Amino acid sequence: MNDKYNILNLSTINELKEILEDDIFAIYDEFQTSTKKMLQDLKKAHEAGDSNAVLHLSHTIKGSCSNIGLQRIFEITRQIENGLRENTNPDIARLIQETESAYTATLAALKAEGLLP
Amino acid sequence: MIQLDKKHINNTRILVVDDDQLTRMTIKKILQKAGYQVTDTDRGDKAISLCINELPDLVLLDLMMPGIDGYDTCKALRQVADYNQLPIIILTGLDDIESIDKAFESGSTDFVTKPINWSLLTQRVRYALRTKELFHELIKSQQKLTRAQNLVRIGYWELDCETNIISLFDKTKYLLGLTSDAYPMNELLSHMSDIDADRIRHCIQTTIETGTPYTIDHSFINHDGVALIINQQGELSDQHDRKLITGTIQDITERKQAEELIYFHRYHDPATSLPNKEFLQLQLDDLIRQDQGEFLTAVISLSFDKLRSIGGTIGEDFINQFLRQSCERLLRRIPEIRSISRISTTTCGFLLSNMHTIEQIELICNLIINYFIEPLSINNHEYHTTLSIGITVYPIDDSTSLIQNAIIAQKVCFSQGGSRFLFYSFDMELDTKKQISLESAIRRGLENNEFHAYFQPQINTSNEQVTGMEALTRWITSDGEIIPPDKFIPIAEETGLIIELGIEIMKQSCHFAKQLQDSGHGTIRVGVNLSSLQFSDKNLLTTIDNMLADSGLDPSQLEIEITESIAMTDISHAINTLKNIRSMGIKTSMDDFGTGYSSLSYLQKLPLDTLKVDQSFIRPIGENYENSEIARAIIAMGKSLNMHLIAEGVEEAHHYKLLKKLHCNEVQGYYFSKPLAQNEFIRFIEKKSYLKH
Repeated sequence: MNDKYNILNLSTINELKEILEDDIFAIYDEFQTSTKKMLQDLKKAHEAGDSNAVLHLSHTIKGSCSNIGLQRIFEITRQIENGLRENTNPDIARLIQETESAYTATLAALKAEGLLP
Repeated sequence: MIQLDKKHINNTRILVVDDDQLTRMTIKKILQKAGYQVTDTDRGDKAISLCINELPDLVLLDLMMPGIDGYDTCKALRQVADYNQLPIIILTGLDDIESIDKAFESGSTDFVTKPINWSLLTQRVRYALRTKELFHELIKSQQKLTRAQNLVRIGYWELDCETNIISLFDKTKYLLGLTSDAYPMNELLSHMSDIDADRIRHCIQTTIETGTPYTIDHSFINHDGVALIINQQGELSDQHDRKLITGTIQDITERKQAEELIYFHRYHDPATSLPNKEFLQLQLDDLIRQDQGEFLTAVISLSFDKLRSIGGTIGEDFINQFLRQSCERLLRRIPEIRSISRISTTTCGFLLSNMHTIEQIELICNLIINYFIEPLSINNHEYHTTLSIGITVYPIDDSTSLIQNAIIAQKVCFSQGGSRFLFYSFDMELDTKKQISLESAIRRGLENNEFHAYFQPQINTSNEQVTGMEALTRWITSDGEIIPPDKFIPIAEETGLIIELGIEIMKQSCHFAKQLQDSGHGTIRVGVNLSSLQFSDKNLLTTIDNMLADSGLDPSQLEIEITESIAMTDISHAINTLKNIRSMGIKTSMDDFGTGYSSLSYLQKLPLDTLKVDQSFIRPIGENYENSEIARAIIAMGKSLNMHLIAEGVEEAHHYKLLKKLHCNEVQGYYFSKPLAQNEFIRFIEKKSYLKH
């Protein structure tokens, strides 16, 4: 259901491109590795029933992705964070799975944009 | 304190604190791209120690962090003394107003919302840095202002006109040496004189009534009893229906003291601390302004005639001491004199006000002259001096140049021999002008060799040979006019030209004596007179030595003559100098003996070879030797002291006869010859025409 969100926020990405020029590649490269790690941690935390860790990790992923224009991941992790904070009993497992799909889609989109090799 | 203002952007260090590595990295890269030096960390506790060690200029701080969160980090940084002005920009969610408020209370200066608007981030940072710089400038200028206020000792106060309470702001109380920040007005006014307190009450009242500001200088005695001089300014200021007077006070004690010092220097002679000529003029102007036409005011110029020559020996300090003591003596003894000003090196001036008659002025001047017959004792030496006094009288004389004309009268008085007073008259000014032209004529005369030594023969009474001669100065101008010595010697003495003139005469004398000897006219001793200035000249001995070497004359053929009054002016100097002259093999002689106030005890102390009996004791001697008592006494005294005796003023045969009988060694006078030019003198001894009997 989160497919409706754009994978990338191109205006943010273009802004970064303009400011950072070639330095921008390092950012998305870092994203590729660190977010992958965080998604694994998120999944583990959920399976362990550690909702605090889930909250913290989703907050972090949300924040960093929003800052660098990764719209879809941002939207999904925000739903996790808000759901936990507001106790709306969200379907965390589904949302984590959606985040993982969004991550794969994001890598593809970044490659298409030439931001990842 | 961090000096951001002078730092170039490249030297500006920014600390990024965020547990989100990706955001941290992005921020770091963006700020580095803009030229900043960036350090980063993921934890609050690390951020605090990094701040202490690396002194960043700005911190970007994420609020949500594990461990010590952003709020506590912010608070902790504010505790570090140097960081109270460090800009701290927090990073927070756009929708999180509550956290922004909380962060502000924790001490953050600004916030950036997430998702971060990257273009604006560097602008935000730049503004924060500039704000800090401006803040820093403001603090600096406040500090400067405070320093300036402390330096000029300025303070602020406010008077509440209803309660009559004066509030003292900031450091004002310290300036006044007080302990509280507020006092009832009357309590503050009790720290000053009643007159000053009334003046201030009046100023305040007028300001309340008319709204005109005031400024006033007044005294203030602080708690330590120290008297301050305060400049106070006040003006009306209405605030919320309260009538207030606000103002400044400034401690101008030092400035006032400096002004007084300047005043003192302007109106006093620095060497003696006596008032100066400007002060005398000030006094005189005041008197003339207040004059009701009832009384006379005398302006007196008084010079110590011999001071310049005594001072020449002992120096400037002596002159100053002499003047101070003399003035003290005058002030002590003449109650009519209120203060004495020094108007030149050796001249004083003062006023005699409220005089009824000219006679009263004359009486006081006579008293003054009499008071100086007694010698003045300075450093255990006794000094004699005579006074020349010049007087102008207001309103009789022209009021515009009373002091100047008194000085003219004094100078004329001096040129007439001193020891007296003269009232100014218009002729004197002409005389003074004549004197000035005479002075330049003397200079010209010296250049043109118009001064000649004439020689009066001195005949030995035992063998009737010419054994000596006295050199006398004659001035024959280029147009042949002969100017008598009494016309130019006083001016030469006053102007110091006498030294040059004396050297010229001594030179001619030494050469002539040597010439007579070389041409077979015998060994004739030459007596040369020294003036007081020459006698006190430090170069005297060198000058004489050079003369002798230059002419080749044997020292024993030269006799240095000084007058009694020169010797008596400074007896110990006379003794020393005469001793030194004698040690060169030169003879010493006292001229005019018996005419002054010298006593036998002084005469005994002076190392003299010859005593000259003054003509005033010889001329009155009659054919039957009447009026010869003094001459006899002097000769007897000279004999008893083993002195060579020469009598002057021998004009009659019976003068000579008596002196020969009294075994006076030598005689000189018109009976034998007037003073002669060199060629006449040679003819005189060749003809032996002096043997009249």
